Formats: sequence, structure tokens, C-alpha cells
Amino acid sequence: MTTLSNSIAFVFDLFMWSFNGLHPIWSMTVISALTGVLMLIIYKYTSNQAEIRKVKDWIKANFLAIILYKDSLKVLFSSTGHIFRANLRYMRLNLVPLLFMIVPVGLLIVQMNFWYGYKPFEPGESILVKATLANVGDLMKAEVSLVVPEGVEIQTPPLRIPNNSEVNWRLGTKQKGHYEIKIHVGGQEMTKTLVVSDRMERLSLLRHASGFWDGLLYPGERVIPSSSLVRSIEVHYQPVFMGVLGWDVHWIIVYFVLSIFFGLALKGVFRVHI
Amino acid sequence: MTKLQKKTIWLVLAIIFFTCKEAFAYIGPGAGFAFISSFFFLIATFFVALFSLLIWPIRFLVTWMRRRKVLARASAKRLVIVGLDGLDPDLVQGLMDKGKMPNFTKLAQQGSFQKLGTSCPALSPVAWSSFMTGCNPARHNIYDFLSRDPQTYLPTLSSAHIGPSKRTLKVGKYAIPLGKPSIKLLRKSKPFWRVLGEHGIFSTVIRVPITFPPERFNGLLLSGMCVPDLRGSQGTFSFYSSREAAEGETTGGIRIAVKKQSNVVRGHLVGPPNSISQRNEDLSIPFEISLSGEKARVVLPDQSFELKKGQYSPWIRLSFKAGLKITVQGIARFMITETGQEFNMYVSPIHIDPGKPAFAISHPRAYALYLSKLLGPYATLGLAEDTWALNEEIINDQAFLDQVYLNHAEREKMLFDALEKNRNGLVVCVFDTTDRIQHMFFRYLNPHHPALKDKDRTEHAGAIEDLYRRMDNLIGRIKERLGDGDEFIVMSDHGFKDFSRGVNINSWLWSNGYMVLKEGGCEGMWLSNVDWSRTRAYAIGLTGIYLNFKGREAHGIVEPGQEEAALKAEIIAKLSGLKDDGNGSGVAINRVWDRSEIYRGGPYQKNAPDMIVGYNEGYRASWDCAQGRVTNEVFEDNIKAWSGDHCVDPAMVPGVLFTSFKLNRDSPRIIDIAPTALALLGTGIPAYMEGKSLIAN
Repeated sequence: MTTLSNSIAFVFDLFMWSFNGLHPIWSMTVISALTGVLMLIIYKYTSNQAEIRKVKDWIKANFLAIILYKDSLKVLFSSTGHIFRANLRYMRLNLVPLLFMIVPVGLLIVQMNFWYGYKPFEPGESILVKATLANVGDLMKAEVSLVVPEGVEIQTPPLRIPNNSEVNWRLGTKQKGHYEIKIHVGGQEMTKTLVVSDRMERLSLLRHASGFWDGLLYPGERVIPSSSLVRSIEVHYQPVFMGVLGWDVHWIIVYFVLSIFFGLALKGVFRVHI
Repeated sequence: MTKLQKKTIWLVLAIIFFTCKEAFAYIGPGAGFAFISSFFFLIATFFVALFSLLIWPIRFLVTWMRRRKVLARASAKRLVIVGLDGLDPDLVQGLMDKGKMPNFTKLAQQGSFQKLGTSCPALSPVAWSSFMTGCNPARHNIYDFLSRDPQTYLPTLSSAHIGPSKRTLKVGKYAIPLGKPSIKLLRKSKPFWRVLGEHGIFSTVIRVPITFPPERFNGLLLSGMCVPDLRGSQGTFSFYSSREAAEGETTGGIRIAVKKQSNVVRGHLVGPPNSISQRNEDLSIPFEISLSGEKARVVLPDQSFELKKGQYSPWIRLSFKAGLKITVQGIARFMITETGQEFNMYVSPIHIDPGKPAFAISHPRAYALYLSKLLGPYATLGLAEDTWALNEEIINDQAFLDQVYLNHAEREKMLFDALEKNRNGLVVCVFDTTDRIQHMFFRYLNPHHPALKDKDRTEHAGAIEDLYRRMDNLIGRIKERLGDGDEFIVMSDHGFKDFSRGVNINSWLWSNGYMVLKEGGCEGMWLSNVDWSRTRAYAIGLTGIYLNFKGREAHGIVEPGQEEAALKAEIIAKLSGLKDDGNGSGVAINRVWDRSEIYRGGPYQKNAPDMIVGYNEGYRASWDCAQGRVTNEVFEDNIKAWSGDHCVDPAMVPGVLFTSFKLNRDSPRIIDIAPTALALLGTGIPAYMEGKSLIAN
């Protein structure tokens, strides 16, 4: 899963590189258009188009019946009932294409989240780094240290939380750059990337040991070997919102609106009944 | 989808739901589409339902205020009228006597069964106009299918004028219409459902002839007879054939030659004229057909479908691109009739798509759309059953019957939906099935019919009896849906008689010196070779004769007054009792009426033909006469499949009238139905109606 995720990340990085320096809305628009088309195609071939059309026609017919027979309470209630029932059927018909879409769109959203979801640290900002350890005995006495490269400084001594097997540091950034911080535990060394930049970049929030969901959701760095005393290293980047028409909007909402827009706009071209 | 597949899907969904570490708020456009669509429908439904509920008490109060007087007088809560066009009382009686029409028999026992006096002439557009207005033709202005333009002597549709937009903008090869096409209803007077609407009574009116273009009123109406096809005609089929010399126009259709190479046929579907092009060209859609035995796959640019020889496709939606991003949408059925050495394919006239009508075919416009969403595409053409295709032997008897019953099934669904939803007012539905099948299969009731010469007389000998029994079954199913307070009328506009011999009135006028032809004699259609400067009378339509009247016709020569009266009297005297020497000197024409005799007291009498011909049983205007051809022979055998007709002396073809209530007198007339309906539902009868209520007590 990690290999797959990393491969997708590589392709995605290449794609995003072509938008280097542009406002994120441009790359978001293109991604939304492409996924809109892809999802349309998946939807077309994985859904029961004839049934979907039939159910939607039935809903529309009942909707029109309410308007046409507006003096009849019987028609009003029966048609409303038909519409609610047909809506459930419509939702059920959408489950199959939904299943087929979950995987590709899920993988895509993971990648997008690294680009659009967080911003790199800026020089002068503080960083919280959290290392989760395996069983190292008494954590308070364990030999744990952090080594940072030039450009980054350690601002606080390690804060140990034995109940969570966690060790936390606060770091400070001095200048832009792609850094690698090193954590030493019981003679072992484990690294984690750290980005200090004023541009949009792919960010790795977590380096983790093997695990299905972590491998799927955090594919940015090599997996920590299972023999390591470190289970994960997490860097807390700040969430970021996308500026659209003067509003700060979460990127997933922008993606939702744009991908739906492209999907609906192109459904006629691809002859898909949604 | 098998049960195992369904279970697997649910299992996967459950695993994802319960094991996913972080539930994504959104999993892409697919989910979004479903969510948005569903949400939209639910929200829209909620608001429309809420709004309807909120305003319902006000509407109820307003309607009650308007109806309170009529409610007190009404003897029926709902009136259901089913029109079975052309159902013949003698045939019905015969089958009832044999016990083959149990539902009609029960209805007659419960209420009444009588012959219903039809209009003069006994033609559907005339009779149904009289039915809905309660008037004779001089008050509703419909005298035939066709009228004529006195300036050009060319035939025109009597019920509606359909013309292009008056102004256009010419840009390059395009002439863009600046406005809607002009569509005008030529039928005058007021249908009784409009009167009911004025009293707050809601009506559902389905496919009653001469209701196009639809008029506004308190109710729903789907137009019937005279709704054109996408070409603007009253029905033009197309026939694609690999046989040589297949190209050209034929009556009621177009023949198109196609090439069959190995097992592939390519060609273009012929569509409507391009209304935005300055060139006189038809729109078309390319097709490719791959043949495999008796099966074929038809590939159009935007879809493909399977065909099996001798079976109709479902309605296929066709989009013709006119340019400038304008598309014209229609529906048609396809049928392959030959797949051996040669290839033949019939395509029905292209009906207006009720889901996207090029112009209004219903009131309100949404009613046609509603039915389309409810039932899928359905026949919208006025004369939806392609009688010409059978007449021209493009399709066979069985294919025609299949087509008619497919249309009939659609109509039944419309009626049953109306019966379910409109429980308090008027429901009217006219079925054309009875008329069309009798027109085309009456030959089987006459073993000596010329159309059966050297043909199999047995295969469809029972078609008409089967038709009548099906109608009886329909009546039974309708009755099951009626409740207390419902009254029921089953009627036909006229009956039916055999049509074995054709009479060409124009040929008779020519041979008797009333019509003069130019050099070249009998040439051309639509009286194109007539010397109007020396012609005194001419026939257009199925029963009308016109004088070439000075001051009315462009080249009129008959002076009003004495000359007019004398000429009429002369023609009437000669034609009444006209004998057919080729058929044992049988009488071909019972009588001819002067219009002033039969059309009295109406403002539109001046538009009537000057004389109306009442043919004898077995006779009708010949095919040549109907198409304005002058021939050397006045009489000819009718060898077409169209072998039954009603364009005869109206006294010979009364319709039927079954009612669930007792009548107050014998000899009801078609103009009595509208006043009867008004009386049953409690409104007064307007003074313009000439008919009288038939309700006893």
C-alpha cells in the first residue's frame, strides 16, 4: 500500500510541479476537472444507468404531479411519499459506483491534503515535534535525544509523557530550507523531514511504522522499520485555508464545488445519467 | 445483480465504515452527484409540498366558493368520458348479441346504449369538434380535415395554422427566426371543459382530436389529432431500402436508397427541414447498421441499439443538429423488414419528443413532460398510427397492428393515471385504435373487397372482432376504477362502413363540364392543371365541393345570387343518386347537401364547402380525388389496405353512446354530449350550445 501511495505521490508531485508559483486555485481547478471526468466515466460504467434514469424520471413525474394536481391533497401526499421512497432507491443505486470511487478518490484526497491542507513553516515560527516510542522501559529514564540541522533550533528540552509513550520538543526555525531532524533512541537513529518555506509544497506530517491506514494516509516518507524503537514521528504543520473570492475556504469545499460543477457540466458530453 | 454480489457490496461498505481511521468528508464527485441530486429533490419536494399544503386551504376555499352553486346542482362527482373513435353500433350490437362484449352489455343494462347521431360530414375532426363544443360546424368552423386557400386553391389543414416565425435574421447561411413559429387554432367556439373550468371544475383531457394547439383552461390537456410530426406534416414515415430505384417520395412517406456492403448498411436518417438554414435542406443523422442473421445493431452518433427483424424498437430519441448549437429533438420507432439479400428498414414518422417538445403539445406544457417522465417517451403525432405505411405496403398487417397496440397501451396508462389522480371533475380520453384498425382491416369483413384480391383472407380476418373485445376489456378495467358518484360515458364519433369503390368528384365535374383542364389534361396533384378562368366547381377534402366563386376565389367566375343557386341546384340534382355503372349500377352517392340546408345560425358558415357529398355505403372519395388528381375515370376500385371508412352519408354511420345513467330520450346526437356533461356536473348550459342535455329527470 505504501509503495502504491508513494507512486501516486510521485505522479502527483510531478503534476503539481507544473503549477509551481501559481495560486493553488489553478491546480485545484484542473484537478477538479480531471477527477470530475474520471468519476463520470467510473459512474457511467459502474452504475445501472437505465435504473437511475428510471428512478429520476419517477421522482420528477411525482414532483410534477404535485404541481399539476395542486388541488388534490391525495396526490400531494402520495406523490411526496413516492418521492421519498424513490430517493432511497436512488441512494441505493449510487452505492455501487460509490464503492468503485472510494479507492481512487480516497488516494487522491490524501495527496491533495498534503498540498492544500497545511502550510510549511515560515522562518521564525515554532514547531511541535512528537515522537511516539515503542516499549523502551521507563520512558523518563530512557535515552532520547533530538539532533537538528543548521537553520533549526531546539527551543525546549524533551517533554516526556509516559502514559502515551510520547516525547515532544518545541523547535524554532531560522531560515528557509528542507531539513532532516534526527531522533536518537537507545542507540538507534530515526529521521523526519521538515519544510520551512513560503511556497506551497507537499508536506509530510507523519513518518510511521508499517500499518495499513498509516501507509495509505501518510505516504510521504519511508516506513519506520518494525524493529525500531520509534513508532512514529509527527510534525505539527498549521492547517491552511484557500483564499477564494476574498473568502478563506477549506480546500475540500473548493474541491467539492468545483468537481461537482465539472461533473454536472460534462455529464451531457459523456452521456451519463446522474 | 445476484444476492451474493449484493451481500459482498454491503460487507465491503460495512468494513470501510467501521474500520476507516478517518472518515473523509467527501469522497469525490460521484458521491457528490448522488448527494446533491438527492438533496435537491428532497428539498424541492419539501418546499413544494409545504407550499401546496399552506395554500391548499385558500385554494379549497376559492374553489368551493366558485363551485358551491354547481355542487348543489351536480348529479355526478366525477364524469369519465371514453371516446372510442369509430366504434360502430351495429358491430357492437352483433358482438353483444353473441355474448362477446360482457362489459358493454353490463353498462347498457345499468344505463343505456343508443346510436349516436354524428356530424355532417361524418369525419373525426368535425364530429369531435361538435362533441366538445355542442355546436354544428357553422359554429366551430371545422368541416373536414382539409380546407382550401381560395387565393391559391391549395389545400390547408382545417384545424390549425402552423407557420414559421414572421421575422428572421440572416447571418451567413443561417436565417435565425426572431420569434416563435406562428401556431393558431382554427377551431372556434368553446369546449365544455373550459366552461367547467370557469366554475372551478378541474378536467383532464387526453388526446381529444382538434385540441392542437392546446388552449388554456382549468385542467390538463394533451393534444390529439392534428399535432404535427417533427417535419411539420401529419405523419411522414421513411423507408430505407437497398433495392435500386427505391429513392423518392411516396404517399405519406419518403423512400431512401441505401447501400448494403457485406453485412453493413450505411445511410442518413432524414429529419425535419432545417428551420434556421437558408438552404432548403433537411436535417439528418448518420447511421450504420451491422446485420447478423435476422438481428441488427443500429449505431447512431450518440447511441446504439439492437433490432430484430419484424419487431419495433422502443421509442428512440433522435437529436438533429441544426447548427448554432440548436438541436431539434424527436422520437421514432425503427423496424427492419428485410435482412436477406436486400435490406429494408421502416422508420416511423418522427414524433415530437414529449420530454423536450419543440412547441406546446399540452396544457400546461409541463403535462406532456409529466407523462413523459411517468411513462417514458410516447406517441405525440396526431395521427400516430401509420396507416400510410401499410397502405403503401412498407409494413405488413401484423406490423401495423403491433404499432397501433403499442400506442394504445401508452394511452391506457395515461387514462388510468388520470383516473387515479383526478377524482373530482372531468376525465376525457379518446382512443384512436378503433378508428385506425377498422380503416385498415375492414376489408376482412367483406370477402369481395378489391383489396383482398389474390391475398390471404384468413390471417387477420378476426382483427376487428379482436379489437372490439379488447375495447370491451378496457371498459371493464375502467369500470373497476370508478366509484360512488362517478358517471361514465363511452362514445364514438361515428361508425364504420366498407370502402370498396372510390368516386373522383373532380373527374365527374370535369367530365360534366364544370371543371376545365389546361393543355395536357389529367396531370399533377392538387388540381395543378385546372384552368380556373373557366372552372365553375371543384372538390377539395373528402366530402366538400366548392364553387369557383367570384370575389371569393382568386379566379372566381360564378356570380353570387341566381347563377350560384342554379349551379348548386344543378350539381346537387345530378350528383344525388349518382350511379356506378362499373358496379352493377349501384347508387354511389345518396345525396348532396347545399350548405345553407345543414349549417344554420353560425358565424363560420361562410367557410363551409358550398356542397357536402353524402356517399352511399361502399363508396368514398377516391384516393386520386383526395389528392386533387383529375382522372379519366370517375369510379375506381379501392385496392388499398385502407378499406373501411365513414366519409359517407352521416345517417349511415352513427356512433355509439353507452352511459351509466338513463337517457331522457332516443336519438341522441353528438352535440348533446357537451350539454349533458355540463348538466351532470351542475353548471348551466351556455346559449351558444345547440345540443340538449340527455339526463333523465
